Amino acid sequence: MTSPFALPRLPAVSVAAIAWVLVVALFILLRVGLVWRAPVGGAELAHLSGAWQARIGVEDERYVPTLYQAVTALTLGWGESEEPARALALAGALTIPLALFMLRRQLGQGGALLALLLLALDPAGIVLGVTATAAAWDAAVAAWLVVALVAGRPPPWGWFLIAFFVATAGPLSFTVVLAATVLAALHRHRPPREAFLWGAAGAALGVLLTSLQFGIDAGGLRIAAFSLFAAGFDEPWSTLTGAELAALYGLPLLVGGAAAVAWLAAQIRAEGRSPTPVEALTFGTAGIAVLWFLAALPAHSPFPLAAATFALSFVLGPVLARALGLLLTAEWRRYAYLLPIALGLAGVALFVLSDWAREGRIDGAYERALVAVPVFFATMAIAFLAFSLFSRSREELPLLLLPAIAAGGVFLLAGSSGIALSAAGEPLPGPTSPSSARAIRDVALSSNTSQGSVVVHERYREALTWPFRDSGTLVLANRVPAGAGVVVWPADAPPPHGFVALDGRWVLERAIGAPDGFLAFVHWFGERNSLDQRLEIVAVYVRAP
Amino acid sequence: MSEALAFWGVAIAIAALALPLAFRLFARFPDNGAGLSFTLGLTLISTSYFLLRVVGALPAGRGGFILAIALFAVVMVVLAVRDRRFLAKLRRSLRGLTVAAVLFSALFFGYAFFRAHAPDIAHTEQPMDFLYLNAMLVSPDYPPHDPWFAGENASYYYGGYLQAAVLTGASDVWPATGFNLSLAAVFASAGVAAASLCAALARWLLGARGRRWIPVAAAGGVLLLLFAGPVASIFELASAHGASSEGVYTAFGVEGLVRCGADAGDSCIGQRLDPSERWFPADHWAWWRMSRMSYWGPQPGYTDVISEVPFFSFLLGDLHPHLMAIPGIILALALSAVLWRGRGPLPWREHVRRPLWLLVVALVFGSLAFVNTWDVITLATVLAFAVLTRNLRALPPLPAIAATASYLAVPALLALAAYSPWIVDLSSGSVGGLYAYSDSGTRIRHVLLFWGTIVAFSLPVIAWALARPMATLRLRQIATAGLLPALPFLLWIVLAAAGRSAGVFAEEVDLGEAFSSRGAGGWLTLVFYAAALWLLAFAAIRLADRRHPGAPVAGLATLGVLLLYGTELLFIRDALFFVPRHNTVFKLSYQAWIILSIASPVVLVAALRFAAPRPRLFLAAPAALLLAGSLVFAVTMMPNRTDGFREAVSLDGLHFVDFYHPDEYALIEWLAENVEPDAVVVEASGRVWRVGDEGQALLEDPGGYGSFGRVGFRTGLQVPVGWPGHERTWRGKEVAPEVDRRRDLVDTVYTAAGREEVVRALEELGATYVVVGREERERYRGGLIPAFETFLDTVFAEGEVRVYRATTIEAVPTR
Repeated sequence: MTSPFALPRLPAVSVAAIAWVLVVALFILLRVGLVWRAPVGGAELAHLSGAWQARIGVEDERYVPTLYQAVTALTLGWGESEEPARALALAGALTIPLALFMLRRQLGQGGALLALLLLALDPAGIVLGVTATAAAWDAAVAAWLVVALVAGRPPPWGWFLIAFFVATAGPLSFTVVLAATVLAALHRHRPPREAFLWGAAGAALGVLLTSLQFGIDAGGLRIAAFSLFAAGFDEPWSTLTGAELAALYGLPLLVGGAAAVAWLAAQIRAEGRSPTPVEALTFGTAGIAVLWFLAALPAHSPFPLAAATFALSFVLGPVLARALGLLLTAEWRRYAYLLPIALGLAGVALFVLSDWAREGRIDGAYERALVAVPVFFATMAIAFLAFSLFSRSREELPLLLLPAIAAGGVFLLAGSSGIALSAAGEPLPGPTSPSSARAIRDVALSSNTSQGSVVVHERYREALTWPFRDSGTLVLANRVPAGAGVVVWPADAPPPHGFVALDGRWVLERAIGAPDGFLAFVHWFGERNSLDQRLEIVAVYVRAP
Repeated sequence: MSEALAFWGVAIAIAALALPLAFRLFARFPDNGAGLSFTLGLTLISTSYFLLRVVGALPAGRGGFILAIALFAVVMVVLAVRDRRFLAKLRRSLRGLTVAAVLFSALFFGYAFFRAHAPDIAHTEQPMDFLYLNAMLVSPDYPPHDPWFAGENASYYYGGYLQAAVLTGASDVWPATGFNLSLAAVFASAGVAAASLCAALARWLLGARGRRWIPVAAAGGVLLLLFAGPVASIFELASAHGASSEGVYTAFGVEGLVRCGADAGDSCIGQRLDPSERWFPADHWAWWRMSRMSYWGPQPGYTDVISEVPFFSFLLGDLHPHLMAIPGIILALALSAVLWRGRGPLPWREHVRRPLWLLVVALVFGSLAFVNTWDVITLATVLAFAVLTRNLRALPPLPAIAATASYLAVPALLALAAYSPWIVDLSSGSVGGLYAYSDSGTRIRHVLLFWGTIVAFSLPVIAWALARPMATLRLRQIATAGLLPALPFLLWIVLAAAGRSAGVFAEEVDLGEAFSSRGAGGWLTLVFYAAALWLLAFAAIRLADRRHPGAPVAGLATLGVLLLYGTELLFIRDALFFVPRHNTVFKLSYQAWIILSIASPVVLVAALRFAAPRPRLFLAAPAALLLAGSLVFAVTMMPNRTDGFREAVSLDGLHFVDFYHPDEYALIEWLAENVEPDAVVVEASGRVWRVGDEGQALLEDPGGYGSFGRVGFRTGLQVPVGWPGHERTWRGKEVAPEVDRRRDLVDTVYTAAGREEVVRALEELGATYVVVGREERERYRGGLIPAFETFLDTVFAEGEVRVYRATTIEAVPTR
């Protein structure tokens, strides 16, 4: 008999479920605001411009025919805002948690969860998952391809869709395809005939559509992934180079990922087993992505970094889960005092360092000692800890990971919060088309009282596409033609005869540079708005009355 | 240095990636084909890149090159993982791999070190070479455009430049540095390929017991191919130190090398040069004389031809097709050798069983034409003979011939299809069929001083043919061998009788004149070659009949001498008809050197190995002396070229421009960075103009070679017209009116009196940019150049150099 005072029984909720909810919430929260707030810049600016040109039927190299790019062109037909396209990009990105959830058996519950957490915090992933670049759906397609290859059992016709999405996606998903191809050859695995035929048909349809540029133009065989991959080496899709972006945003995942690969490889060897399918696939993908990233270090593209951090997250997540498990079981009170000591000392050094960074100079001997001595003792503390653990209790060695995890976490959080909360002040994405660029267009159109043509200097051919969209017919020229009503001209060029300048500081493009040294980096870390900006300032002239 | 490392890294990566394929193809080689893997990989990658660019699947730029390598990598990884024995092969060939990698690296960096002392892309036809390298790098569409003839595709065999572009583009190296590093890569890959093939041939010939001699043969191959030269260099060196007796020099036919002193009068029979003050001949470009036998004899020269050896080419540093083809030739020889060595007949059905071989044979032999068209005929003949002799071992003659034809037809068709986008653009120019050469011919003394060493090293192969197990001489073999010298001679007679015969100063001489014009020295040369050819052919046939491992070596030696003999009798008429056999001798004798430098060291080493100790000494001593003599050229002329290695300048081939004319260098950098790859840029036409008495423009000099066309060749951007003579050579005489029209229009741009004329000329040329730099100011003198800044947009200004952009007024829809 039930007591009348007994509380109704609540459904049991596991810690894992709560963790999933929290991480997914974090994943969404770090992205959703960017749909409205992120500046249009870098690859997104180029690809939105390309999509706009495609929408109005103008051939443009910036239109790279991925499926997402075609959809973007379609959304620009509904309105001139980038937000619907970004919302669709976000919708694609939001399927990644589900893909990770489906991989929890292969990656382990904790592994999948931590991989998702890393993906949620990955700054490059955040930007490219929400902004309307041609590769916006790449990460989602890649994640679902991993699911299809190692976790799911798609029906044969399902491979039609998978192959179609891969063939119409960018290069990130191609890294998974390459890895899977090699693995299939290694294991002499042949896909079932029916699935293969469906897949081939899907890929053929995808390539056909990309070759036809989704109805925009037909210029021979065109594989979107190849085009995006190759263009990334030459196009200015980022103010910073791949190496600079990695230093600012990618180090924790790159270093952590590389360490995870090495550790996991050693573990597999020590355990005398073969890698599991998911391990092999993520290893292969990470290897290819890292090679791409290394080859593109000097290139001005964020995609290689995003590919590397994306792939490495799948390796780092499970390894981190194992490391955290070891940390939880380790008896770490005995030496734990050394960690806060080291941390405190490092904090003192960092405090002085940030002071130097703010002032842009290194102070005298006393302050130098204030940095050198704590750094020395912090290093000694860590070394002593390592020595003690190594000689007495090796099972507690994972304790040494704690400083690295903490440092990586701080670094990662700084990057992701910077991108998610104040994207306009970050060098990624860049160069951006600020709101003033659109204002230039509005002013130019509204000031054209003489009903002449709106003339823009030829130098701004590419920069004007997005801010000047839907402005009728403009004239591009390097000399002011007769019949010009309004002229948008370089500010450093002599003013055109018979025109008067409109007052104002007209910024057409804004680029935030990289810190030029370690101190500048530290300064930027503490104060995100400290980097130099390069502004493309134009002058707006109207015909003199 | 970082650029050299990046370039080397890409090269090593390509070599490593191609190993799975090399292991499959060259499983019978001591190094499992490690020494050939770079050439194999680069050939396949560049061909794939070309085809994927043509169909539009690969975009322009560095990414396209990297993608081509990445796709190749995937195929190779799949090939490796499907090969169950790959790891075992890798382990087995570790020593060969290490040797190949070390040798490649040593040769690469060694040559780069040398080239850093003489890096300029400034002389002979280097601008043309640089032009094509840049065209491959920047061309927005494929087949690539011809930067010296805006709007037209390149009409030349540019496969080698494409290979250089793959390395330069993928390693992201400044093209002018990539030019020099490409030379280093060719040098290294040729050396390592020669070592690999020589080692294989020696291994087959010497058997397991002679294993320790294999490195000697490989080293010999590297030395003869890359460093040997004419022994006439000894006379050059002696005369540089004042030891030049007129009598001795005249006896050897090298009186032209005697140094009479700078103040010598008309009685001087040689060079008006003082003895060298340094240990090597120090006068400017002394090494040039070794490639022109006309300098050796009394003036005026009559041999009228270029006789280059690879070392000379590397010393000169032109990135020419014949140079870039060396590794590919060796690869083709290696493939032929493997096909010869295999068992069982080779009918066309074999391609169904081994499609990989089909693909490789088609692409490698097709790429020979793509890189240096002259080579494909010779090497296809080698392949045909290799397949035929193998088929003859298993089948009666007629079925063997039919099987050979069917086997070769398939890759031939495939190659034609694969390279068809290039072939359709290739103009036949002025090629006009086979002619009989009817002039004095090469003097026998010169032949011996130039070719004596490398031919002599190959002759011991005759000894095996006469060795006891095969002692019975067969008349059929002797007669068949006799056909080889007889047939070309008969053809010579037929052609001369038909009036298709020419000498240096006369076209279409008759048979009688053809006989009489050849001097005694020329006839002796013919007899020498014919005798050597007969003996070598006899040896090759006898050895092949018994499937003796010496047969391929004998065959190669025969082919080498046949090529030399053939150039004394016949030539292919081309654009350089005024110097009848110029290109024929140049191209075919170059092939002969390459082929003989593979065969000769193997023969020599085998002869030393098989000889009894005392005869071995008698063989080794003169061989060592001859080898040392042939290395004098390299030892003495490298310091000459580099001014005694006094100062390493840079690897940037445009360093001299930066040094002497920094504004011109800035111009190149600006153009490369800012101008659209499909834009047309106007620069000086090459003619020189001055102001006439009435202010009009007067033509002073129609121009020839020179640094005009420099925008085209230094950037790969299209200019209306570059070197007119070269365009005529590449496209035939029919193009001459268009060349002249374009030059006229360009001259109009720079000499027009009014704005309208300039604008009209620019529109007719489809040009957007006008360059005014040093060249233009020197060629349009006396204030002829219009004040462009008053009606064009000045987009670049540095020192005295300006770039103007034509006025653009373009309506742009935004909705």
